[in-house]
Amino acid sequence: MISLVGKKILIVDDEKLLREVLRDGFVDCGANVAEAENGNRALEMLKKERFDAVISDVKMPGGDGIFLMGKIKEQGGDKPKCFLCSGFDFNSEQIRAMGVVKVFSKPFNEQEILEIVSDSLKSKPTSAG
Amino acid sequence: MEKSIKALEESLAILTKSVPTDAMPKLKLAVDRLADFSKTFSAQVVELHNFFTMSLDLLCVAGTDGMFKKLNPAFSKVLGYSADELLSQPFLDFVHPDDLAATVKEVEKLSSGASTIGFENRYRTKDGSYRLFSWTSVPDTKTGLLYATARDITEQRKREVEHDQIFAVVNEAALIARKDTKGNIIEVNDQFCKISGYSRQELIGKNHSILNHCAQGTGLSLEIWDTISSGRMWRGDIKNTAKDGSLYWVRTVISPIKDFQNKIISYLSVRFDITLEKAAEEENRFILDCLGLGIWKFNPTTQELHWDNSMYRLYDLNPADFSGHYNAWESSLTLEGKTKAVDELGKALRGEKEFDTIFEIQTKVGKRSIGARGKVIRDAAGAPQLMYGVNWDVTNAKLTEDKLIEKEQLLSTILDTLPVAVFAKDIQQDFQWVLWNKYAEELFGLKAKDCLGKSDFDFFPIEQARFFLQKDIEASQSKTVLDIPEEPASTKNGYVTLHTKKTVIRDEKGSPKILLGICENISPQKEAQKQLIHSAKMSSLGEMAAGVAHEINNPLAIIHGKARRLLKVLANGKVDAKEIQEDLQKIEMTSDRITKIVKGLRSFSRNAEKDPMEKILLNQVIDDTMAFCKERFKNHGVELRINLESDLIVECSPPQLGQVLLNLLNNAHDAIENLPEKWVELTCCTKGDWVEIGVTDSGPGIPEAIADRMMEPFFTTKEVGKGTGLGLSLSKGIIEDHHGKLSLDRRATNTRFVIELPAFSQSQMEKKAA
Repeated sequence: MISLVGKKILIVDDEKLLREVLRDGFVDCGANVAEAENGNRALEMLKKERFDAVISDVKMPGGDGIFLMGKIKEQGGDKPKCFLCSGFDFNSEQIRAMGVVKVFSKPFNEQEILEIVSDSLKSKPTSAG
Repeated sequence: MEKSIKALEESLAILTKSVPTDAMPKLKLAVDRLADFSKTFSAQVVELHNFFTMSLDLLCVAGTDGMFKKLNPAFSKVLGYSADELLSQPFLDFVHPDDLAATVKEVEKLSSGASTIGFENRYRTKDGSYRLFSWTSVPDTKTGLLYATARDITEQRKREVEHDQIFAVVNEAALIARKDTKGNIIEVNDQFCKISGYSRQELIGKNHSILNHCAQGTGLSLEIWDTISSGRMWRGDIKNTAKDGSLYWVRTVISPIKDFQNKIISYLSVRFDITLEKAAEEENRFILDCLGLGIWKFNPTTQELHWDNSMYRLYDLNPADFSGHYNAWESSLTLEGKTKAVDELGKALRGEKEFDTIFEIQTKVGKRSIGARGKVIRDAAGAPQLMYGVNWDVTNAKLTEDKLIEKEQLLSTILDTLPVAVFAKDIQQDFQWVLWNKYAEELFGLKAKDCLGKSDFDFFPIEQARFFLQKDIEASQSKTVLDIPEEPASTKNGYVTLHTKKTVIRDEKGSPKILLGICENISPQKEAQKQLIHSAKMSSLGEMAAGVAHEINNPLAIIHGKARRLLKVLANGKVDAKEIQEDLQKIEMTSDRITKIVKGLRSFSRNAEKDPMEKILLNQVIDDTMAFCKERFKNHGVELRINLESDLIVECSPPQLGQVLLNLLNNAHDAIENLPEKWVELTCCTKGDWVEIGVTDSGPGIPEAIADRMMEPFFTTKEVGKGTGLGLSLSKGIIEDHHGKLSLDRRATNTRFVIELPAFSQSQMEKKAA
């Protein structure tokens, strides 16, 4: 059983049901989940709050995932682990350049996402609160 | 006479016997004297008699009684009568009736004592012809006898009359002039005056130079003068100037006239006006020159060859460079030309064949083909004396002929290698085939030898033959090429679709003569076109694939996620029926999304050509179409504005209309995806009896040149590999099949395509349903 208790996760997708599927999975693992419907909204939330991980769709009206990853990379200090979900394939160089841990290709398996996000957060202390 | 002398001698002998002896010496003397006289007299009489009988002139003695008394044998000889015949009839009986009155008058004159000199009349001969006599007569008034001599001047007069006539003719035909030994004109005839335009008074006493043509110079005058003054005759053509300044040519003979002592007393010139001949000659020369005919004369004995100016031009030679010998001609021939020309010339000279040939010569400017004809003049023994003929340039004609042959070969090769059927029919011969190329043989499975001279009715089913004939007639009456884009035809090789063009060739009167047709077998193209349309659709399908994948990805992830969650919930045993129901509803809803996409895809990729038309809500078609492209627009950040009037009904094949809409939306998308301002608007509204669907994009419009062509098949502005160029042309075809119109709205500021379809109202639908 994966435990993400105490972890704060931001899910960014313009598709409500897709956010719901991911949110349910993370919530079941004990994570604290927030949602945003596009990149710009996610940035606003990231300014207010600290997240352990951001899982974002790529294509969205009103600020896409790549734009969002770029903005997060510009931030200094303690950055959340970043993940993308995409219908397109990215090579490892592109992934490194974006500062992304992994790109999940659609249609994704949310169990795999939970495992990988969980793994990446193990090496990291949980955020306060 | 001799008798009388004998009688005298006898009388003298008698006289001598009867006179006394003493008187004898005296008598003897007298008798001797008398005898001498008698002898002398006798000799004279004989002499006279001889003169009379032997004279060739006609001598006679006639009485005033109109009878000949005596005539010499010349009369009988000339007239053919015996002396007795002549003496037994009045001489007037022999005179020509026309001369009778004059003769009677002349005899009366003689009777009165006057003599006659040179009186002429005609005497009839025994054979009925007449002789002309010239009389000299003296009357003896004592005896009343007429002594006359007549000369038979028949022949002389005949000659004179003949000469007079000849002279009259020459006088009429020729210009005759006589000059004295100093060269001054002393006599001219009428003709001379007429042609020269000068009167006799103006000419006589003048030197001939009055008529000289300045261009002729004095050389000729001197030559003439030298010839005639040395006693010889001069012949030649002279150009003279008439009084009015006009020029005339005379062929002239000038001869010195000599007296009995062979001394020149005058010069006679006879001239014939040859102005017309000279003009004709000049004309001929000009014509020959224009024709480029060169004239040559060849003397086979001396081997002399005479050329006119045109010959020099033909051979590109200066007269100075041409020796005038046969060898000079031979050396101007090419090797091949020499073999041929020399052989032909030999045959002509031997009389084996006419000289009529073409040979090649080498000129300074290159090779030239010469046509030649000639005639051989032979002597009585048949030996060639002279040969003359013409040469002309046939280089161009030969080239033209060669080219013509080449062209014909080219044409027939083209005809036989063309991958289209070419045929011709004789309109004036019931449209019988007169041309049938190789491809036609293959296409129709008919050999040219079998179908030439026959018509469509001999080979095609009657309905088809009638159709062809109708088109043939249409084409032969048309002023332009008749284009039959699709024409079915049954051939021995099966059923084919032809693209046929027919045109008419008219005769010189303008009546239709030949119907020329070209048939292209478009069956393979038709097949290929079908495939191409399909693959074009597939290619646009491919373009959509990425978008479609995205469309499906999300719902799949949702279904997947929800299903797992439900499994997990069930496994944990914390079953909340409401929650499960909600999730299942969401799964169902999301599956519907996928179903919709898949359905759309299927209908899109299917060949919808034969689908029946159905009356359907336009918005439904639009919704189905949007399912394919929404994601694509989203992914490229292109705003899709949709502005639809509800309840619009159109009669259509939904997949086909969907294809058109998708095509227009995708085109719009592709056109603006790289522009800073990215939006595409889809509108729908009623305009009278029409439903108007507009697809507008943020682009600035389409340049005129492209706008004019963009509906053509295969026209594309997209980069290689991206577009098939079939989208708009196919779309246009589909909309036209729907009795609608697809056009570019050129008034719009942005790029805007408009589909117009006949509208159906809800009430119409219901009415029909009822």
